[in-house]
Amino acid sequence: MSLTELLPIAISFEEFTDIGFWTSVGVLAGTYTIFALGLQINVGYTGVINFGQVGFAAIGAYTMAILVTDASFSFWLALPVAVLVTILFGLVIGMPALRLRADYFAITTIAAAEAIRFTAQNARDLTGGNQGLLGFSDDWDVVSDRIEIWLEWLGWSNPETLFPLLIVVWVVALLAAAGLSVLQRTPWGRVLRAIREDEDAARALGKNVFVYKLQSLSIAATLGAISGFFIALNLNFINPDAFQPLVTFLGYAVLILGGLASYWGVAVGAILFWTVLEGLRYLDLPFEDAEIAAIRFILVGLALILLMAFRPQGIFGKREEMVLGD
Amino acid sequence: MTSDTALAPVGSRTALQVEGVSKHFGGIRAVNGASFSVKDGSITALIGPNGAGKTTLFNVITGFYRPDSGRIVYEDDSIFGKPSHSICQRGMVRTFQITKALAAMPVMDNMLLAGPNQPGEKLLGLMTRPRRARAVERELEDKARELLATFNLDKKADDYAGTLSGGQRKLLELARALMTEPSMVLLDEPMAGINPTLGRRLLEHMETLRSERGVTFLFVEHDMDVVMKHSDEVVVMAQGQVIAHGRPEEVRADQRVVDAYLGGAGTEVSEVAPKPSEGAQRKVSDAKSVLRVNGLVAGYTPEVDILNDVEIDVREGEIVTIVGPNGAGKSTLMKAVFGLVRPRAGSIELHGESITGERPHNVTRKGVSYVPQLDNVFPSLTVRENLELGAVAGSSIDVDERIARMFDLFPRLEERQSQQAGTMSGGERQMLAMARALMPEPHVLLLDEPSAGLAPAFVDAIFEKVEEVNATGVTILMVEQNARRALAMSDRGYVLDLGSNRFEGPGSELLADPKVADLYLGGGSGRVDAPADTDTRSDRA
Amino acid sequence: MTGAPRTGLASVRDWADANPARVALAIVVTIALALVVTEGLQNTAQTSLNGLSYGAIYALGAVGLTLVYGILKLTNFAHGDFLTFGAYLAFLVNVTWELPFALGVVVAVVATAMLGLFFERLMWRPMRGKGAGMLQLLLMSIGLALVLRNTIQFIWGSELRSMDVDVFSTVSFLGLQIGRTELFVMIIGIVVLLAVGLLLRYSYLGKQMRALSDSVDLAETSGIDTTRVITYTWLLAGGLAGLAGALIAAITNVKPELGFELLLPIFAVVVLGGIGNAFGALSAGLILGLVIEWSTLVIDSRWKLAIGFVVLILALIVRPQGIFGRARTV
Repeated sequence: MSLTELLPIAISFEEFTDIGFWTSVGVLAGTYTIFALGLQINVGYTGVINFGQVGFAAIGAYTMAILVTDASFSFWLALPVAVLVTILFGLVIGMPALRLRADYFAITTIAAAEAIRFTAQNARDLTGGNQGLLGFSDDWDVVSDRIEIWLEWLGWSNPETLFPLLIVVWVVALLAAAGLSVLQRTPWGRVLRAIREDEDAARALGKNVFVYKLQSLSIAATLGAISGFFIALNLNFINPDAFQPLVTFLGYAVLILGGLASYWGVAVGAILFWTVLEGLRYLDLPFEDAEIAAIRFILVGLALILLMAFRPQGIFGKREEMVLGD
Repeated sequence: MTSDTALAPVGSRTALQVEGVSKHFGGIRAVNGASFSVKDGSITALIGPNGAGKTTLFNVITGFYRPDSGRIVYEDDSIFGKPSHSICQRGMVRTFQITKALAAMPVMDNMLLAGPNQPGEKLLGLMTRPRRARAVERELEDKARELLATFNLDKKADDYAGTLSGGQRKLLELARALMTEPSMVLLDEPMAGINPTLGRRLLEHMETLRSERGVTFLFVEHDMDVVMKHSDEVVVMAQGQVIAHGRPEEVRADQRVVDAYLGGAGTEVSEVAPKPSEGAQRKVSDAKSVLRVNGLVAGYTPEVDILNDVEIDVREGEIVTIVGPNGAGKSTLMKAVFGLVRPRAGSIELHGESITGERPHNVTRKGVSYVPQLDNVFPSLTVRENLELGAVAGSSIDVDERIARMFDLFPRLEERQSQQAGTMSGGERQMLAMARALMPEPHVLLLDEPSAGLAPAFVDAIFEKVEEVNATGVTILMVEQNARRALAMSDRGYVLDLGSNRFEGPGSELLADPKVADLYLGGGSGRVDAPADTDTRSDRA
Repeated sequence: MTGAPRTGLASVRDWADANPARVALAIVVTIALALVVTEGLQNTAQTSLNGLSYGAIYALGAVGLTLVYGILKLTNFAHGDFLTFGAYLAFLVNVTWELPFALGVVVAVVATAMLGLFFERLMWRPMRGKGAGMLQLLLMSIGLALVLRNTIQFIWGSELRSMDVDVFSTVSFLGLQIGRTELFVMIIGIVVLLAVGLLLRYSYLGKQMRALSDSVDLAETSGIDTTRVITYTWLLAGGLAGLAGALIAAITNVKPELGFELLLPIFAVVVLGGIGNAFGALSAGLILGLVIEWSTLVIDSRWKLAIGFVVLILALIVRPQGIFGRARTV
């Protein structure tokens, strides 16, 4: 009897040895690591319940794409400019919204992100509407080809197309995680933690809480924008569908899985999450693709519910440090 | 209104000046034109009965609430309406009534957080002056260790603040406040919840800081011994205003202050003699017991018991009042009887049947109604709707007829029956709350400080109503701040202190007993120095 | 700087703060009049009719959400999917089983009510017992939303479907045209809205619900059986959501994203009406419905949902307690 006959649920194991599968998982995991690092600094370390992170990704990606395709910017110049534009958006939304109570702030950020996506859908002249934008990745393709040459030189005769992207996204992700970990251990990071636990205590000790929250939001905006770039490069084109609220929700799932306590935990959570989620595609069940897609997200929803009910601190979190909610 | 102070301790410069400050919340005026000043380098106490507005005033001064009007000047600069972090940066630091030691962070981090002017706390500073940031951090760490040592917390520096006992957290909060290098420290009930030994140490530190570094202290306190023995000046608040200001001995002897605490403020103080409807002295009834509490132990947080073995007996048709200083556990007792707080030990019996730990709405159905002190009406519902909800659903009472009777008893409510309860004044709300509690025709009515925060005219009205209600046969168990008025109209009273029974007896006897007054205003057998309270284990709170 | 007496502009603002309902009414009437002048009475009246239909639906969706928030402090992101659930159940009865639409509506209402109660017993009550915090509950509701939407998608697929209702005949009156089905939806919507309003205002249960929205503790103290009232609140919230879903599916189409797309306008209504204030939700729903439909006279209709966002964000920033809410700490 083969392994597939022994298991109650048949999983197509061949996929798991396919380098294409792992590259694809790796790129998604890396992208979501960067995305969720932004959530971590907001939610896990400052107590800012940001549900609009996908909006930052959208602004980053669209700004970059528009600058390259419409305004003929160099790709490498468009990147930092797009980051700055995203930070600006973050400040514009953050300044009035951060005065609000945590759950109102959450609703505001979701609304803002949806408004951005809605605009992307309807401002056809600027954003291409539902058709989206493409043609921004020429400069990246040059780099990607170069990396492929290096890989061939190292002995890999026919490298996977997305592998260069995989390398780059993880270099960025790990640098970001390292940078944030270092930042967390500074006095600045200490103030953030104090704010998360008790804003009034921080204020009573002379800390301008509002400014710190804005800084935290700006960092999240930066990371959101960067993850948006990787989403764009992964698909080679962007459209509003890539920036649905579901992305933020999946980001939270990654965040909770890794635990609200550590930046490195985010990376582990992302890898685990995407391995399982992508792996589920290959469930050899008598269902159509669309149905399997639905099952995968049912399982994500269930995972969120069960995590919240039974292990809200995730894998690496500590129960004593869990200051989740009020 | 204020007594002059030619005997100021250290110079006569004013550190803090508060003039005509007011703050209201909806219809309630928590602070109503308070004015006083604090001398530079003094230790000043802010005292006053429950609901006087002390913590609200604290929050206003330190920028946590925005005042409606007035002037607040600190070291010659106006701080009216300035945000709290800015006020701290100017040198005024505060602690909180319920400690805000950051439990999820280590003790040392708590201390380092408080250091002022850290370049490492700014992103720009981190990037442009990393070495300076590190140097400052090291200096702060040394300073923190020193401070922690003076409070005996240095060994705990690396532990999470959450592992500290309640008393240690209070000390940590003070040590942390001192890290900010303040020129003025505002302490909100620093003695609450810590044992006398630790308390003494705290006071010693305050005095040392005052004499060595000229730090000014303003603290809210209920422990009268502490106030009388350790403060240079005392400011007394009642009903949102400052009613007296001067040296402790002066204030203690001030009749207005005595009245504010013991009650009788309002109508003729001399006529505090009981005025029962029959005209004769109220006798201790020998009717059977309606409500009996035995050996009750209860609290809110796992480590602390607020009630320690309390015994109360209420007989049919009586008015029984429970009095005692703040922190005695009077409100907690009420809540435990009614089922809002789970008792840890002991029993509560109604008509001989146990109701220990029963859910409140079941207790109501058994004939006991409760009027909480605060949040006792549904603000978005009208007066009439509030009353309708009091009538316990499903029972066969004629709601309209019952409401009509309530309107007879409280005519003012009839005038306002379509008004939203949230727009009414404190006194009107109190009446509504009582009427609502009376709707199901309870046998026993529990009243939690019915006169708290009310204007004198309303205080009279409320107590009259209580007597009228009692005359219809309802047994009353009341907790009151206004000890005199309440005891005068009660059959019997209990005096609670620190969660245990201290005195009990007929109302008129307790009224006349000087020991009761001492308990409120300090002096006599004070609690800080009483041998029974001393604990040799210095770490235990 | 002392607190000087407020003059001029400041005192106008104070009056506006104290009389929000009148200000809102004035604004709405002004917009209506402006539109009558610029776009004509006919157009204004026609879009007003649509506005009332949609507005009633938003209101029905919002009442449940606001009551659940007010009483249980739960921001229920799965509420939109209750609407979707109702729509699909009506579809099942109407199209798959070929029964009259009205019956489908009834089934939708009952089933969604039970669904709401089911999750209260299964999830929300135990979590409250554990002392779960706001973020925990929020994330759970998101998980639930994912489960519900994708289960529906699993069963029915993601294509657009339609109810088996009359999409052709129209009714004319006063020079205005309205589709037969649209008329039915509007009438049902408004009738139920009024019924809910009357229930909340005059019935004992309604008063109890409003009382719990003010303070669950005080309600418990007053002898109200809070568990029972919470049960009825979920039944009401679920039932109204199911109704709203079935109705809107009848005049648009049936798709798995139906509810989530409506969730943001519904949140806008909840905030606008004052969170926790059911009457507020009813009025704000109609107002938002009108404003959104009126906007199609002035801007390209594909942007009309943006009005929902704008209203929500403006409301949160300018007046978070909504038109009818009290200035509690937000």
